Amino acid sequence: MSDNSPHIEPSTIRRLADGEISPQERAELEESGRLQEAERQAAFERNLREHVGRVMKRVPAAPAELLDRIRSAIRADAAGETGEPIGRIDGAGPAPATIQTRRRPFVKANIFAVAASLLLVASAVLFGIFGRPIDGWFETSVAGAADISEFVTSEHDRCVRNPQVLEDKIDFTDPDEAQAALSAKLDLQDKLITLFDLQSDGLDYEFVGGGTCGVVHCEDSAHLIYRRKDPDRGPAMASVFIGHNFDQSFVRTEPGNWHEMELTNRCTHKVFYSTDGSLVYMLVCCDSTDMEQLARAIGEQLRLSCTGRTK
Amino acid sequence: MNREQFETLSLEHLDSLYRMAMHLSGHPDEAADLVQETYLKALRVADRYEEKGGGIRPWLFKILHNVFYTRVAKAKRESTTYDDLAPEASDEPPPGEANPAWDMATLDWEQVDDRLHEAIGRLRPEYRSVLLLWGVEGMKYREIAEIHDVPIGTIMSRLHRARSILAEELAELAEEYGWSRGSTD
Repeated sequence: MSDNSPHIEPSTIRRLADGEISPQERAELEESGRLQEAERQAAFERNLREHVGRVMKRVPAAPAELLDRIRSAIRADAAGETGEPIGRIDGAGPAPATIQTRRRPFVKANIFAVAASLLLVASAVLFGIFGRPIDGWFETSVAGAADISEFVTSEHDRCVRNPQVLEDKIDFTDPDEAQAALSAKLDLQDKLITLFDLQSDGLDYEFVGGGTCGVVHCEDSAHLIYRRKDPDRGPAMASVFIGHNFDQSFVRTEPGNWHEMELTNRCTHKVFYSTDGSLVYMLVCCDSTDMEQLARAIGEQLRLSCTGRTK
Repeated sequence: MNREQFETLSLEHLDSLYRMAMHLSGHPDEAADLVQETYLKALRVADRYEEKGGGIRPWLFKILHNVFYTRVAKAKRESTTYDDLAPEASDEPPPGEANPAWDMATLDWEQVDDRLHEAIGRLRPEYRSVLLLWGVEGMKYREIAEIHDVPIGTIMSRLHRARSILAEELAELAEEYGWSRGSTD
């Protein structure tokens, strides 16, 4: 140790660098004329901390499937399920799965009373929105519903969580270009898909882009991606999947009505679907509180026009 | 807190938890299992969560540590060993240890990062954990102590010891590259 250097305890230097030194200790350093030297040595410690942090961040991000696993595990645990898929259809089964809305019992006390109350409120709200209830109360046959809902929720989440996946997914960002190109890819001949306006009537989702997609049980499909702009409510994305030539799945669905698709343990969001008689539309959104409003906006625009954008 | 609230609050910290689990276990599969078990355990005791400032993340880290060390204890009972290559060392810093300080203008921090990476990998899990919470998460000593459920003095000792080990590595690196030092001991 140099005779010219006032000795300062290493622990003091490190606590000074970490902002953990007491005001009294700091005052003592200052009075003894050692504060400047202490700060000089502490600068190295601060630099070291920065580099330790940088080095320790050299760990890959959590794999995307881990999030899916955890969500599935949380939901299975909360519902007390064994982890087996609900109503999963494997290949060509004898009968298609039926669609029913599913209540997840996250409220333990007085569950039946709560469920009945929610049912009444939801019916009233939905009747007011759509003019008729969402046909989740009615059974409709949809072959491979579980496969479809798992696929679209998984695709949606991949785009939300991974910017690279989102970038790879989007083939067209210009709405006119997307409409024309995706309509051609869906082999609609003279028809055009609708690029929905989701930025009016209280909604704040702007069109990000679109591309083709491989929705299961469907010959041709496209994926439209929207992002919520509202800074106060936080980021959220919505996906609209448009399918053509489904395997006789949606023929009995009345055009214009929305249905809630059957979910499995692997599904991370609700899925609403509807049809205009020709194309099937599936809606997924990060924020479930926006689902009803988004569905209403899309439903209104489908009734207004099935051949192009409304503006 | 219901399930949806729990998911909303907790899942945004997935990457931080996974990073910690990787530094503790060193294996991606083991890390993924640790994180999944952490979330399940957290869900089951979510009603006991109390916001104390700093958000839910310190609470999740604490559960992760408990899960990890429970597994370590179980593995030891079953005679399964975890990699633990760090030299046996007391948590107390050696007396009279001078603080290294190099002329920072001559330090090649790229070289430093690689050496630090190697040195950190050789540390015991409890030292790596403290360094991560300190260096990456920017936590205070008190917060780190709560996560590890040890006295704050123990955390200060561990952190001091870990930094001393890293400083020794940098001293060797400085010798190899002939970097000048701002003060000598």
